[in-house]
Amino acid sequence: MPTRTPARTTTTKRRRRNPNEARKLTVRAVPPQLYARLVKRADENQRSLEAEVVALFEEVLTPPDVDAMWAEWDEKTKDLVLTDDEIVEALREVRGGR
Amino acid sequence: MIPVLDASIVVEALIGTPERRKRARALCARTWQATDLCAMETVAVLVARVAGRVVRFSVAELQRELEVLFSSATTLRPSARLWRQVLATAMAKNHKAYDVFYVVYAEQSGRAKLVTIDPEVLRKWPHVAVHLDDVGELGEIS
Repeated sequence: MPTRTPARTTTTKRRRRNPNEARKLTVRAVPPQLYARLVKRADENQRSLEAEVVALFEEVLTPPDVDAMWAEWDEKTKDLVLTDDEIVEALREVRGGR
Repeated sequence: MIPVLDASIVVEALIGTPERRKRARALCARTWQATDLCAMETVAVLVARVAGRVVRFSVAELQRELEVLFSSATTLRPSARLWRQVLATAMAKNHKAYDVFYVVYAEQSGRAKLVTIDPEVLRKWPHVAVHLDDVGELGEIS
């Protein structure tokens, strides 16, 4: 009777990642001009390239404070308030005839 | 169910009365859909009502606010895909074609509701249109 290879029983334990642990990211194909600008910017800000990239990510990806933005907008448009009827009327005007 | 928003709702969010702004913004902050006419009509109303007035905000600020409102719009469906049904419905109801694009879009989007403040649309299409008043403070539709 042929012998069967026993099923593999060893499992590789995956290390559980700490959610606060910094992640690693490799970026390929950075155009040379962009890279040069990144290096220049990092120099100006006295940061490492890595720190500069992280700072850029943060700048672009941090969601805007929408509540504060709306509060500022409301303040600036206090004298520009249309009622329902005025809005419907304005829409009818821009839509023209049938 | 992802609501379909009429251009009136986007305008409300920007320059409606305080209560209306709040409700409309809550709605726009959730995922919503519209036809591509929504952006065109919103801009047209803003130009008609704002251009030439002395205002305390810049065009860039207005663009930023609109950007925020439209950022949750998942679908701005091309109106060219809806024209057949719109033509038939608008003729049958003797109603302006612009409104009917939104109505037909909502009807074709499963059980989607069209949120509007237009009394005529609400009266003619009660099965699909809901008033902004029927939207909760968190943007939920009752």
